[in-house]
Amino acid sequence: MRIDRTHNVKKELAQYLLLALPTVLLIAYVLKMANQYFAFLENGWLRQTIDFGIGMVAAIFIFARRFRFLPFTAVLVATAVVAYKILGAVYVGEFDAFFWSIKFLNHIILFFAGWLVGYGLSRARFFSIFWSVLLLAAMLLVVSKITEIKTDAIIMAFAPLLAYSFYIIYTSELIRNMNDDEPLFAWFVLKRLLGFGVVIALILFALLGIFKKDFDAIEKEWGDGGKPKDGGVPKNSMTKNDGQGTTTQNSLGLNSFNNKANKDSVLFVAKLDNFFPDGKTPNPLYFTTDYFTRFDVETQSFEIDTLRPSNDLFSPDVSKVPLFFTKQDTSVIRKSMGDKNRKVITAEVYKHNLSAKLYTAPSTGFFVQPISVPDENKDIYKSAYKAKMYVSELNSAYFVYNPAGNKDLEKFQEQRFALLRSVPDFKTVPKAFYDYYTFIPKGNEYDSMRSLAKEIVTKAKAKTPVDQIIALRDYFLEKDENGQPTFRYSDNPGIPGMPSANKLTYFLFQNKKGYCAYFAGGTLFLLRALGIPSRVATGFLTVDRSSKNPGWFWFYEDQAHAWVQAYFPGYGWIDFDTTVPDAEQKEAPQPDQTPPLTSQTVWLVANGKALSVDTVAKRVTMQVEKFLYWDNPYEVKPSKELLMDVSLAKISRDSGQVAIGSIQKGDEIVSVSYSEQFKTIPPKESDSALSLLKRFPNPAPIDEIKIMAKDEETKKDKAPEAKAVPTNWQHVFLTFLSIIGGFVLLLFALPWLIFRYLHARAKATQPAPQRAYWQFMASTYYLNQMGFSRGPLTATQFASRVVDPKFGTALSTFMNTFLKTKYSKQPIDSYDEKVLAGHYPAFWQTVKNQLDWKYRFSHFLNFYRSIQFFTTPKI
Amino acid sequence: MDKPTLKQRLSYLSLFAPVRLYFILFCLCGSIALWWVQYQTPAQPGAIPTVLAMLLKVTLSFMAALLTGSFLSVFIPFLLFKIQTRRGAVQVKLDNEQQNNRKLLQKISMSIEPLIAPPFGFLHYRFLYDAKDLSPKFSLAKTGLQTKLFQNAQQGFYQWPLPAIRAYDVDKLVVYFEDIFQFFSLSTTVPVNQSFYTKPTGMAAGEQQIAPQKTDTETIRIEELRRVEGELLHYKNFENNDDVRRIVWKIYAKNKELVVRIPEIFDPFASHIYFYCSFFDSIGIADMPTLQTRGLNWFKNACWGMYEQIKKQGGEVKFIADQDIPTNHFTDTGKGVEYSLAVSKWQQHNPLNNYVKAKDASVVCVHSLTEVGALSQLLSQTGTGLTIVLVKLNHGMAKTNVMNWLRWIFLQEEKDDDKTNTLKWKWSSARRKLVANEKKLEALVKGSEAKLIVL
Repeated sequence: MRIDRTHNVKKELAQYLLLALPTVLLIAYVLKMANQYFAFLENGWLRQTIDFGIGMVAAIFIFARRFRFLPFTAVLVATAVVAYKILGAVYVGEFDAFFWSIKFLNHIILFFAGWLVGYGLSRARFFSIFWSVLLLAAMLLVVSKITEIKTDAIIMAFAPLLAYSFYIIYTSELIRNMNDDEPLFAWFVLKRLLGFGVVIALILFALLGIFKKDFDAIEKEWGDGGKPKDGGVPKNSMTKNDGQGTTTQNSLGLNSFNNKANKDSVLFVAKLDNFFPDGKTPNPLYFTTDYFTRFDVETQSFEIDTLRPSNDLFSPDVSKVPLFFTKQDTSVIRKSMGDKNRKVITAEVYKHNLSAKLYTAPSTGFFVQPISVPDENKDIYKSAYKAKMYVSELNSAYFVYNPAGNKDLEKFQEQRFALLRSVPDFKTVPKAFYDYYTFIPKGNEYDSMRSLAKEIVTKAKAKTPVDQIIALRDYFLEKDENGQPTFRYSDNPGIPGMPSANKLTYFLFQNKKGYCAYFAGGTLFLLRALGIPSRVATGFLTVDRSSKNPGWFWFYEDQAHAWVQAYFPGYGWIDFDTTVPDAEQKEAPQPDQTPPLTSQTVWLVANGKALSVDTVAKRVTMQVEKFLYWDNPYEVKPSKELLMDVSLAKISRDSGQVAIGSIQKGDEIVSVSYSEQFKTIPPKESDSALSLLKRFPNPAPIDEIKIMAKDEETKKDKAPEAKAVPTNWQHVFLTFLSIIGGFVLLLFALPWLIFRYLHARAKATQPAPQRAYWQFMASTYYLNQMGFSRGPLTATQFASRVVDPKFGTALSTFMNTFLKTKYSKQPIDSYDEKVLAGHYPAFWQTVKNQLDWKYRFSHFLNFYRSIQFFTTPKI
Repeated sequence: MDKPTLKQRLSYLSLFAPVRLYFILFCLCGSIALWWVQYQTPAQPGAIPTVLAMLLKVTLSFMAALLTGSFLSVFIPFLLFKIQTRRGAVQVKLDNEQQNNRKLLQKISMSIEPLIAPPFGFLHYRFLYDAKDLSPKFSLAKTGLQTKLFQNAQQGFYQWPLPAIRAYDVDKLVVYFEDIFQFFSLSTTVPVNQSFYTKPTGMAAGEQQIAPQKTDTETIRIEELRRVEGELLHYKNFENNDDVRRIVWKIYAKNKELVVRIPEIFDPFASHIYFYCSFFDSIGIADMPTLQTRGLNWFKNACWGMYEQIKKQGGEVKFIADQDIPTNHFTDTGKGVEYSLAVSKWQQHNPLNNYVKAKDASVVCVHSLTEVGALSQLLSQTGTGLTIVLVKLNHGMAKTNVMNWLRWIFLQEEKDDDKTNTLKWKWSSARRKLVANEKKLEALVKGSEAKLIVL
């Protein structure tokens, strides 16, 4: 059966390249964006894009032939339904069947979406209009809902969509309207698309330039309040990549404070050595990374302030601390200003997607010791550390709201409240501290919050600070006359990040929907309005999901959290979480796995610089500066060389395992040994560092080497962050204009430049026959550019009939000689030499003198003639 | 020529609407989308409505800028062209080149000057021909590389599908200025007044033995010096090399002019193959569209093929047209016959027996619509020398395989009036009449002394 084509091959190819490719790219972009925000998509944007792309390409292929849409699609749908049924029958397990059915449906839906769009753009006449308008309207809503409120982010998210919407109408019509017989199809389409691209870009840039002020105003009003103040990173910047593919929260990722974050992405795993008095029930604690303490009047929002009074935040760069060495700051214990019901606990944190630099631990952390990740877990966990914290016994992650009928917990919570009731007021708190942590500005907006706070505590008849806090908590849990909660958890009240006062007022009084940052921010205002010193802590919500491994907790990206801490004299900062539970919150789909368990004992940890690396013999010499041996620290002064056998050693950086060749001379390295050989050499009391080194086996068996990050690498890591400076659109626009201008200038100057090149070759090339070719090229090019093209004439005819009579030149004589040099095997004689030598500059001068310079100038601008010259045969 | 119907007039006028359906749909969809977006916008003040409003503002401004640009890009070239047309400065050159016979595509080369194309937009054209018909909308395919920086002339070619072999009178050229999105379409007409005809394709007729029937008397000038009988019809002035013995001295004596006489003889002999093609429709069904195109084409191609074949075999072939078609302007007789056949139509005023001269005719091409009686009368007057070419119009109709259901379900054939007409033809009573007539004609010729060729 012969199947005719609907349109020719050129059109079909153009449809793949100019319609399918941009559409698939846009869909990839849209899907990627949607995947970040909608958990049900399961973060498979690439797979989804491929499904869509296959559908689209298949449709274009099929409908470039004369297939009918409905019967063909009906057959496909029927096949899909049959396959779906078969799939249901093959997988007997209820879960398997469901799982595979859903996966299959996902594929099929996207395939058919691509199929429909492919058909529409290929065959349906008005489809591009519907598609473009529908996509634009839908994306208007999506972008406005999910984009971070920053001028650049909005523009970057929306501009491509806007451009695409009109591009697709134009291009589909362009292809449809092309004459099938057009011989220069590709050139015609390319020329027009380039022109169209430039026009679209110019209009877009001009419009964005005009509206930039409005966008900036919106950013100021609803975004994070303008430019960053300290080093280029915006204050409330979201959980972001630190250049190594991991997530850092050092400037606090509030992005993940709602369940838009990826539930599949494990950030870290922690073992927390904190149990209830029974010694068995784990008592999870929230992991803190930073505090929002200072109210910035300019941006009208709470900010991180490194100069906060009694700064009890210990935030070392973990990647800088050598493996197994420790870093601690006990001053934070003092600064935490609480000593009642306090204890020191430890935690081990194994990082998966969390930045190697970041330190997170329940407050108040004061100690860090990077530890090695067990070999069997090295592919999952990139680095690990041990932390020590001075924590309050009154804190527990179980106290979100509801101890869930657990008597022990309820009792524990009541006990805690009873203890805290002993704090009647804050008279004993230093004034500067009190003023700082209770500051909110004056003004109508804040007065309304003050009166709301008063109203709540008066209604609850709460006198003591803790009762007032409980009253506030109950206020957020209140239900209306229909039994429906007044405050609801919502993913999407606006923009991720710490909300500004304006948004918090809107949240407290009108919308009453938000995620943790809204509840924390709102509570902070109310607490401070009541004169209770408080701050917003950010970090990670700890969820105890598994009873298999007591004390082990998994932290997924969606557990990033914000809550308030209130200060109680004597007891210190106590966690209070007022975020209402999310009715739609789902558990992380991935069940928690087996925790990393260390079984080896570390005997030796040596720190120093690498002196030499022998990759063949697997030997590394190290200039040891200090080492830990049998847990005792030793300083080596002056530093001493140590030859190490690294044939069994795992070499790693913060980014993961690397090869031995990665150790460079001068690198700071930490060598670890679990070798039994060291077990047999116990240190004696009389031993000094040097005497111990002498007793070590030579070469010393080493099991692990960690290359510490150099300063330059740190700088390199920071480089991507530095690039996050907001785009200067004016600059971009000017650059774009200059590029376009340069391109246009080059385009018009090209004929002249080509001529100068040919001219130079015509004068300088040796020997004579080759020069004759360049002279021929230069002469004919010049004539062509001046409007005297050869047309259907032969070169000799052209010379004798057109050029010589017109200009009085002797081009035909030259042509005869040139053709002789080109085609004849006879050597050139003296006459020919004379002709060749005398032709060129004279010919050009003669022609030039007879043409007005305006004529020459205008004709040299015409690049079309150059194209014509080079695309037609010369001889 | 028929006058255009009201429907034709209306569809003609609708082609000049300044906005296209694309624009109407765009506005409609845009309004619905705008309403939907506003409906979805949260009522309370907040970030989302603010950002949404801003994005809407940017979108609408972008749209307004593009649409204004689009309109201007069409309007300005249109206005310039209109001014030039008013001034009579616009020149349209049409040239019909070779035709693709398989698809009956006529390659028309065209150049229009001055005409500036809308930037990034499109120029489309239509021919208004035969006073009422419109060609499909087309764009010109470029013939070569652009050599001017700013083109104020358009030239290129168009392969015009012209299904019927006949003459076409192009009256006007409609020029459409269309923008980049096909939203606006400003159009104007330019008078063209050019005619051309599509040529018949010779149908292979195979070698045929045709005897000349017509006896012509040839006038032969006797060039050689000999005494011959003949009339002294002409004199001519004496020239060098003329035979001095032929000088008419009597005339010389009278007026001193040297003239010679030219003796001529009449030489009667059977020399010519008179070739008749009757387009007479005796059944009265030739108005059917399929007979007007396919049937007529088939007959013309058959006649032309036959004519070429006989011509190729040698001998003087004289084509006698049954319609009054001036062919004097053709220097080549072959071209004249081709033209004559190309522009002939089914007719009902010149019946076969009136048209064909029985004693002259060597070849008579008849077809399925020929009257049996007339042919019978003709055959009775002629003998063995006559060849009847019976062109069965039914053979010329497209084959439709309605039983190929798989193809019918899955494949969407190109919209083709011809196929629709063929289908109608297949089920029509006219076909049965025609086939019956064909059979009668065939039986009649077979029963006579004349030679029968069926095509």
